[in-house]
Amino acid sequence: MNTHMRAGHVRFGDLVAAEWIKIRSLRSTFGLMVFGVLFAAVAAWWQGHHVRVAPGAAAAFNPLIYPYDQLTWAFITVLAATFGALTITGEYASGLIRTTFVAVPARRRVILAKSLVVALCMAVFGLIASLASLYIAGYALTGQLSGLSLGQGAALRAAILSAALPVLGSQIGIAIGALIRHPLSAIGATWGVLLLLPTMLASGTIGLGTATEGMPLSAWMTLARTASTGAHQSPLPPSTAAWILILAWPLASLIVTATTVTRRDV
Amino acid sequence: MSVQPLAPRLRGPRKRARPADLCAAEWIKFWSLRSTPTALVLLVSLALYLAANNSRHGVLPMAGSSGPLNPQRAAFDGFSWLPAMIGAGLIGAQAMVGEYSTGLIRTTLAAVPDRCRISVAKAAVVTAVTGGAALVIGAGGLALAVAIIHAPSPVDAHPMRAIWSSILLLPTCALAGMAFGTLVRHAAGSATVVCALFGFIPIMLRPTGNRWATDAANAMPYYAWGRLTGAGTGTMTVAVAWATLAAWAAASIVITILALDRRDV
Amino acid sequence: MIEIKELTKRFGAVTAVDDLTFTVQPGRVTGFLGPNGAGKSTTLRMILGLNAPTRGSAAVDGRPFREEGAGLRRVGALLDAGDVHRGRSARAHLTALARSNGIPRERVAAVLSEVGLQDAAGRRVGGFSLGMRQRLGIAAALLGDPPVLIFDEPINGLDPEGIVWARTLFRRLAAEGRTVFVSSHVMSEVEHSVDHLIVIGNGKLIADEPLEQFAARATRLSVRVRTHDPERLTAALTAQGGRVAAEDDRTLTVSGLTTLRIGEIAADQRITVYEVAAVSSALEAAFMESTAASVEFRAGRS
Repeated sequence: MNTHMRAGHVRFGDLVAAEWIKIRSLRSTFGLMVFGVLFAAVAAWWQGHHVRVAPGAAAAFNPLIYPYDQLTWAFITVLAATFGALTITGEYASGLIRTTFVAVPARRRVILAKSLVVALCMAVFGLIASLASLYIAGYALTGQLSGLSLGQGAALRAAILSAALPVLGSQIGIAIGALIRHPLSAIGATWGVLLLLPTMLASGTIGLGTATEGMPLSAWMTLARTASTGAHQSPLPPSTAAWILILAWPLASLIVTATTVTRRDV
Repeated sequence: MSVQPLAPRLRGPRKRARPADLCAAEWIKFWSLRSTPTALVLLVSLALYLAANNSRHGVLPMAGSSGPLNPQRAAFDGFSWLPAMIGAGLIGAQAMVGEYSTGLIRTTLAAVPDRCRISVAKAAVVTAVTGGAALVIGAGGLALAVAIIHAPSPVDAHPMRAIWSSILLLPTCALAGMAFGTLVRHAAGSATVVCALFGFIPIMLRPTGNRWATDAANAMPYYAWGRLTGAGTGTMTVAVAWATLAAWAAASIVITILALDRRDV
Repeated sequence: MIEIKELTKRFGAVTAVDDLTFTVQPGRVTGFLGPNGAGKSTTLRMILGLNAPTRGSAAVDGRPFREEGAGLRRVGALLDAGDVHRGRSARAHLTALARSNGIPRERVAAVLSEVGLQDAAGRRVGGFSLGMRQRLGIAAALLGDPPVLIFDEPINGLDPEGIVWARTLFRRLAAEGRTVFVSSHVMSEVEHSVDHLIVIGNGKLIADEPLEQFAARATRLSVRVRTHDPERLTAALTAQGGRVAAEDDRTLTVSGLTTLRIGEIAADQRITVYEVAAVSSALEAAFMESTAASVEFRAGRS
């Protein structure tokens, strides 16, 4: 072979490109994202469609809860987390992880590159889903409620924060996948932690009241003002705490992933 | 050193595989891995913890039902059983997917080419294990609840029906998981379907609201079981509830058998 | 006995196995050769009922394998050493297999000793080396004491002692009247252990004949000859139809003549030769020539 190879240090850009190639060739990548966007769109239309607001009573309603329904976006977050978990457990299950770490022994950089690619994918996905929800719900609610367009400050804020939710979820999924390398258990744990745990905390089934406020979705609800004012109101964190949580969850996940993968034998 | 040939009386091929042998082999395979028994123990422990917790702190019932706290309601609270349902589904999926992902399915089918009987044997073992777990969680949870709440009469109506329906519920979830595993043949894919179906759908669909949502919700094992345990969350009759659970179990077994039998391995 | 009749398998547009017909007879070791991608594994899978043929049939002792109840007692097969769950111990894996066929537990200990894994039986298969997993696969094939045995690349990863052991085992099993069907790429090993050959390429049958007959197909053997008198020998060999190349001032490489013929020519001319050795084996040469047109994956020249 006559190609000249560049010796030494691998550039981070190359690592990111390599991870992108691996992730885009996964069948589940686009499947999950397409399904997620469709789900968000249908749910937003459904939510908007079934609201009947008496004229003049519009002020009592928070229009943001329709495009950014709590349950729908919990599901989207879990889908994103599943995607994140898949990118790691797939490598462990197939043994590709050994090839990867022999090719690039600097494990932390590989993890950083992988997390970055996943985050970028999920950011795009989140943005599409978020904007679709906003405008579809807005359309379904025309004549009844207004305020669902990017021009409005509150809506813009909610849209951006909702687009960030899948990014957050995917990082948590990567961490769970790195901790529990068995694909079935990792996915079970992901759904348990992101869907069942907050539900159970909120309903009081598990009596750790303050932990309810620590869940990623609670932080999102505070900041995006998407909390409904229904009967079963679970406690929400105050604004500063919510901002810290939104940043802390992905950061902590990244640290957990990097530490676990570096420490463990492969 | 040469291997002695098998004793003469055991020689000669059998026409059909013996079900008892197949079930025993699947039983050995189930318990010889570290992961599945560990998952089972975790599942049961979590469920019992939740039952005890419900008894201590009270439980917020799902929309559509209300009533004073009683031990049966605490032990058979719907949300508390969701992890057990998902866990059972994953255990059922693992029974098939684990063989596909490691290639063991080829060894298994070369040893016993009768695929139909293999599917049934796996289903039997998974049913026995998850049914046993359901018995422990149901009866144990009820006993814990009675002990903690000190209620004068232990339960409201039909405690045995609650326990029996739980013993049917978890194997149904496991068999459905096995069916998905055989269809999808991919660990992550079947796990996602199990979690979505048994974890998310019960939270999302409620049998109140419009007709379509009610029918879809009532078709779910979660609500059929809820009707039978007295939580009153399903709106169908008792007979239909039993039939729903049985239909899920039967359909899952049929799908598993067909999917394994028809496809190349 | 294994009977294959017009066996064909298509995966979409690709024909992996094309109208194969042959019979594997009992009482001898039959080798199954072919380049990578020739369709050997697919054929073996169809014999065992794992893949359904597009056309044609494969029967073991007169019956299709899918109709068997206790498969291990009819065919013992090693397809891929990796087809085990890495979380189980070797003993648990074999015990489950034995139990599924109603084979008594003592048999598991017996086959483990036979393959040399009795000390490692309690360990997780995930910690096994490749050679150990191969031995485990051979043990599983022996569990049911079957009259038909199929091995796909059995000596892959075995140490030299293991290779000799495997060769002796296959010969012994064949001598007991069983049908032994071994697929391999290691020509030197095939030469020592196999009696009859079935060679396929591109899914089609190329040869179904005894080993010596196949090896005689080789036309381009090359022989290394060392002599004190290279010029005279070169002239004599060229006159008899050989092509001679000089390696150094004592060594010649001759092609087109067998070692026997070269020895005769040298003796006629009273030229002393002190080494006449075949550089490539007849079997390897015959295989390369026969399958040259069917090679799927040819490494690039660099």
